[in-house]
Amino acid sequence: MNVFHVNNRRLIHTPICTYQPHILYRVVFLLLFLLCCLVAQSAFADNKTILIISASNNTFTKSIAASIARTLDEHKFSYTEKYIAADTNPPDIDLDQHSLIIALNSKTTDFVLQHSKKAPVFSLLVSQQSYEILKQKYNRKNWSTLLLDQPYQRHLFLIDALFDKKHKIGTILGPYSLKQKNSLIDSASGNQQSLSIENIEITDQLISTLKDLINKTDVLLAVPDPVAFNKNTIRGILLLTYRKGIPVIGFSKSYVKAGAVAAIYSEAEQITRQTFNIISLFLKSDHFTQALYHPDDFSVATNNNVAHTLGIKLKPENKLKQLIKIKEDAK
Amino acid sequence: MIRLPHVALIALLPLELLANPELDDMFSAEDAFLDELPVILSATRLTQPLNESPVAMTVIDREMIDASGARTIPDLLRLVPGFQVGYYDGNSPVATYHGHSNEHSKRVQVMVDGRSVYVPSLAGIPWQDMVVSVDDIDRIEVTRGPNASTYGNNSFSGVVNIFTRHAIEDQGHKITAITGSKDTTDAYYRFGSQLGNLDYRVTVGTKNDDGTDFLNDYTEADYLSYRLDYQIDTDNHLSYQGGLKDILKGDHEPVPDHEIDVAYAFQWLKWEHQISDKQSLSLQYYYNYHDQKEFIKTVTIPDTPFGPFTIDGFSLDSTLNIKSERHDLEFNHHYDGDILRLVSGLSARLDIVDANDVFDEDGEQHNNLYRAFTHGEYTITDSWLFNAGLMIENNDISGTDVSPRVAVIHKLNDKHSFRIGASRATRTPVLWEEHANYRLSQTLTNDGTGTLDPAIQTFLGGTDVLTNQFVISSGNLESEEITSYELGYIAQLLNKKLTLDFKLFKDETDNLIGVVEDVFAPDDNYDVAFGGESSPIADDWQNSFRTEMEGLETSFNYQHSKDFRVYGYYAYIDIQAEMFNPLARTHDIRRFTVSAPTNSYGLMLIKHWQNNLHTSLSYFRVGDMDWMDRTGSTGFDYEDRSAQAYNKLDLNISKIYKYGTEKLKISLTLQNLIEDFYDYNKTRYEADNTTVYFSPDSSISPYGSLQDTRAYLELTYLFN
Repeated sequence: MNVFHVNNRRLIHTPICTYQPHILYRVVFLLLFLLCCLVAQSAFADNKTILIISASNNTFTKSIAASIARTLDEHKFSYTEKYIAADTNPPDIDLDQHSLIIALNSKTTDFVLQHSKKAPVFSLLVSQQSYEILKQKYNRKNWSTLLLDQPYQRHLFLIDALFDKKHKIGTILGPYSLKQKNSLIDSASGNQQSLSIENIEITDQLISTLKDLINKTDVLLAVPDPVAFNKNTIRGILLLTYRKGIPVIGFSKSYVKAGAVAAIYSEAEQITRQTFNIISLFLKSDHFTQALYHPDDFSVATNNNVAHTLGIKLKPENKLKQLIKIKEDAK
Repeated sequence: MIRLPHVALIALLPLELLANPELDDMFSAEDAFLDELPVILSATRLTQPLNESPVAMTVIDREMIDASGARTIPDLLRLVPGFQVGYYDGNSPVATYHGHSNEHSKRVQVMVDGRSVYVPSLAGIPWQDMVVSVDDIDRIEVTRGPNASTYGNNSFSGVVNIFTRHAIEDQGHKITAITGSKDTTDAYYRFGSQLGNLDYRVTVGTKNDDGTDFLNDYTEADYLSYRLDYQIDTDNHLSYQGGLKDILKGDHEPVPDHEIDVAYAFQWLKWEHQISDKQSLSLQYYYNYHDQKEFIKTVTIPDTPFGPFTIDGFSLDSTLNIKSERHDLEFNHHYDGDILRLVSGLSARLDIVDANDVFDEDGEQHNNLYRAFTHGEYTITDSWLFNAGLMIENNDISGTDVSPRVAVIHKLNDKHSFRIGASRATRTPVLWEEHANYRLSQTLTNDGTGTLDPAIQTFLGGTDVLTNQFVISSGNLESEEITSYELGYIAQLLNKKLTLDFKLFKDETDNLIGVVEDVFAPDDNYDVAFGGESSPIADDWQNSFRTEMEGLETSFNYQHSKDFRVYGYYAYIDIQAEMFNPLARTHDIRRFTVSAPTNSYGLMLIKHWQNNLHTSLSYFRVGDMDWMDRTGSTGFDYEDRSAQAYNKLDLNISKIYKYGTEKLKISLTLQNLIEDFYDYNKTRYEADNTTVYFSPDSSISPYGSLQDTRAYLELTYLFN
C-alpha cells in the first residue's frame, strides 16, 4: 500500500460524533484508533519515502544527487539518500518499501531493478546503450528513464547552426552504438546532411579507421560508445582531427574543454528540473507518462580557442541554442 | 519536512555487478558523458592561424610530406619560399634561408618538439645525423625570418620547427622498405600502442645509400627512437622521447677510408600542467649528444735529410674528433586569455664540447647560457592585433644579447589581413669561431735514435714537436646581428579554399663573422721550416661583414577539394654586402651577394584518385647561387660549390590496398626528371659536360655532388 502523502503528513480523519456513543462503540473506536496508530507507526517504521540511490563517485553524479535532494527539500518531499559501494554484503534495506526510487546511472538501476520487485523506479544519468541492455534484462512496468543522450537530431542541428554551409559529417560507431545507426542515418537524411559512418569492433581499430574517415569528412560527430569514444581514445581523436583541420562535435562539456569545437549537453540544473517535473507527475498520478525521456533542455558549449585556430567563426552559445530550438520547434 | 539522515556514504550495499563485463562497459558508456577529460588541444598544441602570425610562416603538413616522397628533411624545405637546399655531398644536405650559409647551416635554428638540435661545436644543423624519421613528423612550421624572442639565440634568419606526432596517432605495426637508385636500402619498423593513459611508439630503422656518383659520400645509418605520452590525470601530462643513431659516412673526398663516424643521441622530457582553463605551465629538459669521429687522411712523411741528420719518416693519421653535449632546462608559463595570450619563461643551458687539436684548450670546454623571455598577443579589437616579444640571453661567449620583436596585424575582414613587423636576433659565435686552434702535431725523431737532436729542436723553436696550425681564432667575437622588417598580406579567398601569402622584407645583418687569412700562428713551426712560408700563418675568424637583403616572397595554397590541392611559391631576393674589416677576404663580399638565388619558385600538385591512388608532382626552379664555402680564389673560384640554375621535377605515385584493418602501400618516387644538376658542389666540366676537370690544387674537390635522375620504390605494410 502506498501510504506516502505530500509533506509526509498523514491525514487521519477522526469521525465527528454529535452523540454520546455506547461504551461498546467507544471500545471499538478505541481499538480502531489504536489499529490506525499501529498502521501509521508501521508506515513510518517502513520509511516509505523517496530513495535517491547512487553507485557512482563521479562529481557530476554527486552534484545531480545533491541538486535533486535540494529540490525535494524545497518542495518539502521526504527522501533518503544512499550510496552503494562495491564489495559489500546483500542489501540492508528493503527497496520495495520506498514510494519511489530515483536511481542514478545504469549500474544503480541494475541493482535496484534486481533487488526490488514493485517499487517504482526512475532512472537518470543512463546512456541509451545502457538502457537498451537493462530493458532486455528486466521487464519492469513502473520504471522510467531520463537518458543522458541528447537526440541525434539535436547534434545535427548544432552542426547546421555552427557552419554556414552544409558539412560532410563523419562518425564512428562501436559495437554498443551500432544499434543506433539507422536512427542516426534517418536523422541526417531528414536534415539533408551528408553522413559517413564507419564501424569498429574493437578500440584498436579506431585510429586507422579515423585516419581514413577524416579524409572524406568536414566534421566529426562523437557518438557515445565505450569502444570508440572514451577517455583513452579522446587523445588520438582530437589530435588527429585537429591536424587535419576537422572540428569535433562532442557530447559533453568535458569534450569541449578537451578540444572539441562544440557540444550539446545538459547541466545538472536542467536534469534536476526535468527529473522533478517527471516525478511530480508520477506522484500525482502514480504512473509514469513515458518510459523513456530525452533531455528536454540543454546547453551548448563551444571552444573558442580551438575554433579560432581552425578558422571557424563561432556564434555565441545562446544563439546556437536558439537556432537549434527553432529547428526543433519547426519539426 | 522529515529528512532522514543525509549521508552520501550511508550504506554499503552489494555490487555483485562489478564482475559483469557487459555492465562494466555500460558504466564506461556513461563515464564518457560524465568524465572529466584532460585538455588535449592545449595552447601549446594549437597552431596560430596564418593570418594572425606575427612573422611570415610556411607550414609543411603531413599531406605535403607524403606527397613529396622526400627521404630527408632538407628536401622538404625546398617547399618553403626563400629557402635554399643543396647537397654538399650525398650525405650532407644543407638548408638555409636567404643564403649566408656554408655546409653547416649555421644561421638557421632547427627545433624538434621544442628541442634545439643546433650543434654548438662546429656550429650548424646536423641534418643527416638527427634522430628524426621523416615518417614520424606531423608537420614542419617554418618561421621565415628571425624569431629569437621566441626561440632564442641562433634563430637568426629563420626557424624550422619540426613537430613529431603524439604517440597515440601511431597505433599498430608499420613496416617500410625503400629501395632505389644509388643502392638505396632503407627499412624501418614502427610499433605504437596504448596502456591505459600511456601511449607509446618505438621506431627502429636503417638508412643506406652510395651517395652521389663521383664522391665518397655513402651513408650507413642505424637508428632507434621512441616516444611516450602519459596523461597522468586531467591536469598533468608527461612526454618522454629518446633516440640514438649511429652513422658511418664517406667524407666527400675520394680518399680511401676517409670517413666520418657519428653517434647521436638525445633524451627529452616534458611535463605540462593545466592550472586552469586559461593557464598552463610546462617544464622541459633535454639532452643532446653528438660525437663525431672524422678520419681525414693519413699524412706520410718519408725520411727527410736535415743537415747532417735524417729526420725519421712518420705516418700520421689526421683525425677530427669532437664530442658535443647539451643540457637544457626550460620553464614556460602560458596564459590564454580572451584578449591577451602570453608565454613567458626561463631557461638554462650548458653546452660541453670535448676535442683535442681543435680548440685553444684541449679537453672539455663549457658554455653556460641563461634566458628569460616573454612574447604575447594582445587583441586590441576584432580587427587589430598587437604582437610583441622579448628575449634576454646571457652566455659565456658573447655576454648579454637582447632580442625584441614587434608586429601589428590588421584584419580588414575575414578574407584579408595585413601585417607589419620588425624583429631583431643575434647569433652567438660558436666555439669553433671563438676558440679554434685547429692543428696537426707530430713528435719528431732523427736517425732512429728515438729522440730529436737539440739542433733540430732549436730550429723548430725549442721543441721536438712539429706543429702545423690551420685555424687560430683571435677570439673576442661579437654576436652576429640581424634586424628584419616585413610587410605581410594574407588573403583567404574562395570560401577559404585559396590562401595567398605575400611578404615584402628588408633584412639588415651586422657583425657577420668571416675568415681572415694568413694571421700569425704562434705555435706553428711547420710553415717556415717546411712549408716555404716566411712566417707561420693560419686562418682566423673575425667580425667582418654586413649585408642588406630586400625581396619578396609569395605563396599560394589552393585546396580545390579534399582530393585536389595545388601549392606554389615564388621568391625574389637581392643581397648587398659590405666588408668593414679590411683584413677579411674581399671575395667574400661577392660570396654573400650570390649566396641565394635572385629568383626561385616551386609548384606542388597533389591529387587523390578513387581506389586509393595518390599522385603528386613537384617542380622547383632555382636560380644561380653560390654557397659561402666555395673553395679557393683562383680561376675556377666561382665554379666550385655553386649551384647553377636548375630545374627539379619529382613525381610520386602511391597506391594503397586495404585488407580489413591491414594496409599495403606501394609508392614510386621519381626525382630530377628534367635534368641533372648540382645544387651545391659543382665541378668544372668541359664543354661536352662529361669530362671531369681535375683541379691541380689538391685541396679542391675535383668532383661534384651530381643530382641525377633517381627512382625509389617503397613498400609499407600496416597492421594492428
